[in-house]
Amino acid sequence: MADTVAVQARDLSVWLGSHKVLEDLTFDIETGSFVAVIGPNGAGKTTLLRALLGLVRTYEGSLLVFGEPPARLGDRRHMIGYVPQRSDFDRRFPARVLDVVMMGRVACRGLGRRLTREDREAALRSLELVGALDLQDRPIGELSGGQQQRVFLARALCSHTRLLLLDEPNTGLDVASQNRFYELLHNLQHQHGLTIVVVSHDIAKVSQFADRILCINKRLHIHAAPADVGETSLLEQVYGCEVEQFALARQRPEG
Amino acid sequence: MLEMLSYGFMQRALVAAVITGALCSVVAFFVVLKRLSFVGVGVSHSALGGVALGVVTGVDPLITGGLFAALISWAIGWVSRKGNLSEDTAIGTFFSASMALGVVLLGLARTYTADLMSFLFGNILAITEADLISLAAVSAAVLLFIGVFFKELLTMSFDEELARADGLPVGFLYFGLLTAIALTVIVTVKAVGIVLSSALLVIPAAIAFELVKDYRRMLAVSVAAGVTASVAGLVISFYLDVASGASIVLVLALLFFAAYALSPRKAWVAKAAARFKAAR
Repeated sequence: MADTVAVQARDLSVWLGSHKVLEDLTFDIETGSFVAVIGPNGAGKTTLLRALLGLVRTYEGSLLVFGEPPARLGDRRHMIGYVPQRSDFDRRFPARVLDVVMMGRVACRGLGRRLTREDREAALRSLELVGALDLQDRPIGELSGGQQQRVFLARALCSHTRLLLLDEPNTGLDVASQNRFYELLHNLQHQHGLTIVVVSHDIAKVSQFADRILCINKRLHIHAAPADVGETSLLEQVYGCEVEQFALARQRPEG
Repeated sequence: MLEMLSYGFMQRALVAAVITGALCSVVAFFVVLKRLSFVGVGVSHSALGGVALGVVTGVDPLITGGLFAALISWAIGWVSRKGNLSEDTAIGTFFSASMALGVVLLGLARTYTADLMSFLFGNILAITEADLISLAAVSAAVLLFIGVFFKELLTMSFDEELARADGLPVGFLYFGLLTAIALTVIVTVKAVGIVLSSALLVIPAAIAFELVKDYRRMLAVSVAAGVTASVAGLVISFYLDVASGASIVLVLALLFFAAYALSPRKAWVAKAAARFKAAR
């Protein structure tokens, strides 16, 4: 697989128990691109992310991340960063923001090995990158939803991340926080060359920032640039309901 | 205090109290953070079946109890992770069945029935040098595991799904932690008993959790509370001539209520002071 392709799926079907959640998906995600995965509830979007992370291994067909099946990535696994929809951590967990970000270094440092000054510096750089350096000493549970998502983004970035997977990262955030978050992702893509895959329900918002739209509902229905997705009627067929605002929102905001 | 320490059995009891308090407090740190309190209760009560098996078969009850408790902890973990049963249902079933087995087996070995109370509630004054060596050896093994994998266990306790996505061996860490709980229970049976060991596996860290917001301080406060309560409980039991295991747990409970009242998380005292000031 050429270095220009970060993710390659060929005839990919994914099973959860006896239930086939995804069927015959074939697509490439180019290195350095921003891809939005959209689809209705239960379409298999999160399952696709979990397969990319190597957390779901019951699949047929071919799935390659950086040229290897996710379960066989070895040390290259640390090139994948993950931001969950909403971390279900205990809000009273006794950890500071910097502690949480440094947890993102634990796996890449190696089992049983102590974290070093280098790990601390990497965590601080990540916090700076997402504009949350001033939060480093705050207890994680005392942050707002938007601040917490930025911290989890910093956690996902602080290993040797080249591919960033985000599962509905804006759930529960106000519009201003959502805009700031997507601008941040946009900068990470263009200034740091990261490949970004965002699962989202907010079609209008992700269409402003994504290079490619991957619309799935068990099968892959659309894989195109937002401008080429065409009429909303195709999306409406996938969603089974009206999809408003899509056409209006396809242009990225100025600035 | 000096009078108390003039007895050999009290010297051994004091050493056992310090080691037990420290060991349980460190394990309790992860029991509380990973929300395994009910697992701790389940595993500790399950140990009775294994202990009774040892009594009946003539094998060292520590060995059979340890193996049994470890097996039960793995079974609870396996069943609940597979999603076939909820964790609390699995624990409720396993621990009541194991306790029932223990009671039946001890009933069959009638000559040992009198020991049931000491298994359930412990007798730290009856600790022998051999018991101390077992306690120290198992404590070292458990603390080594936790020391080596501390940051991995902390990461898993914070968010298991994220830890798994990072590539951490969550299954190994989780079952390792369950094994550490099982070994801690069995090695502290002599000192505080099966029933009360579960208290030591929760309360020290619960005290610390109420008082501080930093995990490093929480660990330090947990160990301080565990060791202080163990030693204080032992001293109180000596002078009042009451059961030492129960005294230790009661001291811990008092510390917990105090910590809960003074908790900065709830700020009850500060709020009450502010109300009082406003009323004046």
